[in-house]
Amino acid sequence: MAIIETLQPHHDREAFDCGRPALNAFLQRQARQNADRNIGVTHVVVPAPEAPEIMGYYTLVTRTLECERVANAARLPSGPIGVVLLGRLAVDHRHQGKGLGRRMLLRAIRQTERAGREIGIYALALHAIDDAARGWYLSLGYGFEPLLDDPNYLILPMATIRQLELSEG
Amino acid sequence: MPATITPTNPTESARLSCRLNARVKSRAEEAAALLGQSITAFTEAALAEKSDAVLARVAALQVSERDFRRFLETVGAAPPPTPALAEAMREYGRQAAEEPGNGW
Repeated sequence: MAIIETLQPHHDREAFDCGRPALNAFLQRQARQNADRNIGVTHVVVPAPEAPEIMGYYTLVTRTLECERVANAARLPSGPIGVVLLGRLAVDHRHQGKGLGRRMLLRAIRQTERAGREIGIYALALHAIDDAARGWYLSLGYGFEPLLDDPNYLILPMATIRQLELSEG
Repeated sequence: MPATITPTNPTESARLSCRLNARVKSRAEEAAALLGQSITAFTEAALAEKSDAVLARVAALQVSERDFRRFLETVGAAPPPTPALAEAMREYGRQAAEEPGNGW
């Protein structure tokens, strides 16, 4: 059994270990603060209601996409380009290989679709932490498109997500 | 060395206390003196500049112009979901329906 809920004080963030120090440290030090400051929501997978153990987590936040320097602004949209950013996604090493990462990603895609009904969102975006993570996302065959100069940026267009017709909820 | 900084904004000010590396503090005092500023004004300006830069980077994802155009092409193309995504999402829905109340 696995339950998914937003990060709360009773969750044991210290015990989480996905094998990547940066992703452990984010959960331990920053995730609660981000929630308190409304700059990101962390969703955690736990084995049972009220259980402290965190099996996996991901964060969602909205961001705008901008270009660093524009040589030729012709035919570029003038308004802000909103995306949902899947900031981080990690599974504790004791629970890897059970499809939890895939399930969290699919949930994030559904949440993006839902947010896009009310807020202007162009895509679900993520920045893979390294080549292995990037390879994982691409190996799923879900249609994430890499950018060119920074190929760790992966994009799933909202228009593609909408065609999944995730009607309920 | 302890350093206490009080912003000079007359309408609203707040106090920030922090311990600094002695060398950093002495260099900051030297730099402020060169600019003819008080250490308070110098520190406030430096903090504001650094904070603006960090917050701007957090609020917006910065990509190259080529990547920006690539992004717009990708979202504009609106490709249909891949069979793998469509099937995975159906399976996700089935599994979620089997365990209602678990948040999936």
